[in-house]
Amino acid sequence: MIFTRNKSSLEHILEHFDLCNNDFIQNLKKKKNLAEYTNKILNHATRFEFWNKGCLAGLIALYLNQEDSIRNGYITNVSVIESWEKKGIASKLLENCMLHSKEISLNEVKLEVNKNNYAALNLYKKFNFTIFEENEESTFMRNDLRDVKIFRWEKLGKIFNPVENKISPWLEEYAQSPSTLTFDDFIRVYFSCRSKRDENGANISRSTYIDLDKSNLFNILNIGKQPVLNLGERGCFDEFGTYPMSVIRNNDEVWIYYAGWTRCKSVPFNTAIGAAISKDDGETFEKIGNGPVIPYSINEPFLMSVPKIRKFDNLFYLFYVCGHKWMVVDGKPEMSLKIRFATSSDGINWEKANRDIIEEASGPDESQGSPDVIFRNGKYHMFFDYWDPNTFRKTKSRKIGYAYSPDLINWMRDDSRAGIDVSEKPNAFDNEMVAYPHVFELNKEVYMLYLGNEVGRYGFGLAKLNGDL
Amino acid sequence: MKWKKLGKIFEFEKSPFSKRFFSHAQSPQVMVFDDFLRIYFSTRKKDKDSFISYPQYIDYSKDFSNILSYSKGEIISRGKLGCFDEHGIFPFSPMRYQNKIYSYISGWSRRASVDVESSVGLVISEDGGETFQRIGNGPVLSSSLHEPFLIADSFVKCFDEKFYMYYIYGEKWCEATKDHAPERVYKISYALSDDGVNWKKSGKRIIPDVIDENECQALPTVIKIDSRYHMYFCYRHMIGFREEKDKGYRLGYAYSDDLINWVRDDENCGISPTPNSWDSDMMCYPNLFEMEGNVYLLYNGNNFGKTGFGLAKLVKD
Repeated sequence: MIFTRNKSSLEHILEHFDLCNNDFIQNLKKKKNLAEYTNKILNHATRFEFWNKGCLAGLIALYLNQEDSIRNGYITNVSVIESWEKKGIASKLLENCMLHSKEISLNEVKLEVNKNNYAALNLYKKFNFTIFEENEESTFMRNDLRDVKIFRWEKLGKIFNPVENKISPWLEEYAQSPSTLTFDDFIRVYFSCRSKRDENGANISRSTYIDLDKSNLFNILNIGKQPVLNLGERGCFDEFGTYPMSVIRNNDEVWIYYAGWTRCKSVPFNTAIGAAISKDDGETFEKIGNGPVIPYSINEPFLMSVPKIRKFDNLFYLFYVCGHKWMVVDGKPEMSLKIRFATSSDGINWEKANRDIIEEASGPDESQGSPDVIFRNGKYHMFFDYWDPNTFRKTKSRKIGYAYSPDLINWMRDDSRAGIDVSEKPNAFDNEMVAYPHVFELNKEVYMLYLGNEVGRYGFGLAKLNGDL
Repeated sequence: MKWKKLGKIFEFEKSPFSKRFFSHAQSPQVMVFDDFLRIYFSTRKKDKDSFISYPQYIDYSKDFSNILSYSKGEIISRGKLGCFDEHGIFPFSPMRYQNKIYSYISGWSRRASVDVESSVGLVISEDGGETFQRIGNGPVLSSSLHEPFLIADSFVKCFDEKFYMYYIYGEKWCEATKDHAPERVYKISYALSDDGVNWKKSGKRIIPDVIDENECQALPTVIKIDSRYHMYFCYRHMIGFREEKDKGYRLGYAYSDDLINWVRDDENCGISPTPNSWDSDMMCYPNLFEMEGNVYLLYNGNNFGKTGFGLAKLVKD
């Protein structure tokens, strides 16, 4: 499911109203005021949109009013097309509207609703709207936004720059795919780095870690002296690199899931997901087999990568991406990747969901990566990154998206709530892209590690959650 | 087992395929129809780096005296960029299931540090086996934790409503020496399925080695005769199999009463190279089938089927 703000055109809205069957719209149609009204909300209202396959299926329109120093919002329209009624869409749109209102510091939001529209009245009451006026036809409600919780990531700065810490030939540049493991006194951050490019321009990614002081995450206590994973044997899926990866404690062991790299002829490489186990607290890992733990399959033909391992309710979840297609852009191969997941009771035998779980927000070729999930306040929150493979090499742009789910099955994507974007400072390490989010909890705070420009070539940064998920 | 060789029935150079393809008619595999017999095989075109294998078919009368028809175009489209079958399909292994023809294809994709990687895909025909469509761009059987590469040579049959797949997996790639490039070692295993699409690997090797631990075993084919299951396959040395006739492919034989536990019994294979003939140096890629009460064996001879394939008939006791 996909939610946006102010993306709809006049045609979208007119088509949407045509598919709606509510009294307000019907009245406008009768009075032949619909076109005028549509134009008005297009030009003057903030629009909260829900889309289904390119069709605007849900819409809330909010006018902003300034009276002296008081800034108010007025919800002029809440509509959902008939085929999407009673599926909780209005509720999610309203939530987005309230979050945005809070974000732009409105003092209150008001609305008018037909007295007999009990479904709507109940919805507004659920969102803590209170009645301040009534007449024969309508009920007028207001909400001071006191109970609306929003979040933003406050950037704290860059933690680690591999280029300034060249400790060996295999750690030349890049610190990608940070993944944390909590110890009593420190946080261990695994990351992947690259060797110098060889004469063919190819390099090899290895993975190691740094240990961060729990009381000051900018204090690096220790840097791994060697890669935590060996490269695979000849012909194996991980012969030419082990990257990206994520770790989890499993009883007394630490398990790592990683993408292994092999080199191909027609495309530059392929990747598959492997697993390894550490019995020395994450210092070294032993592979559980020479092959991948998640095989390629009928609808996951190649490029299985960015495994993110989690455990919820005693079940392992592996969120990952798989290749949707290889494209050729300006004569060069580019990947279109999609987020998927699999579950397992033992971490070894996996059952794939066999479907894309995050709808594209930037066209069918959109590439998605780094699906990092955290459970908080009764919901699962996913931060991931996405980019357009058609333009990526030129724009160098990659952004962090956000989706949430009540059940790990259905995901509601709403990038406007991600709470983090590229830095506007001209020399910032993340002024072109923010990528590879990894979210973790420490001392009751929530932090995000993320990569900056050139997908972490110069390291990763830290952000802290303001507000709550 | 006792076989009577009927000779080389297909000569690539004399066939209509020699105009469209470069060489080879490998791994002949049969589909018996009411009035004729269709033999699928893989043939090659050269490309700038190497070659690409394409499946084709030829239809014979049931007494093998006449060629009735043959494929004139692609029977399955090329694999897409980056896919497991991008660089060719060999072998192509058909079977009937619910009025359709399923074919398990071994797809090839080229690698940098080794020649190739392979996986097994499923393609389905709803026009009686003339053309096939993929059920997806990815494989139904591919590398896994303990079978790290080179999944290929699937042969599938239904027994008692269960699908049995016999296939090979790569055990290791031996490092190159001054005499040879990296060479692979592969072994025969099996997987089970209820629908032919979702497979569970057994994780078991089923045919012990007779040469040494580097014996390469390929292309199993299975048939039930009376109450016993019979498997033919081919096997060779890891090194020298292209040049030295003592180290090239031979046919091996095993039998089983439960489809799972197999007894290797090459002494009773009943077929071996004939000196100074098309199969003097090599015998490989066997395919067993039954037709009109007789059991037949198709196979390739010298040079991995570069020039064609031949036939043998099981002699009844």
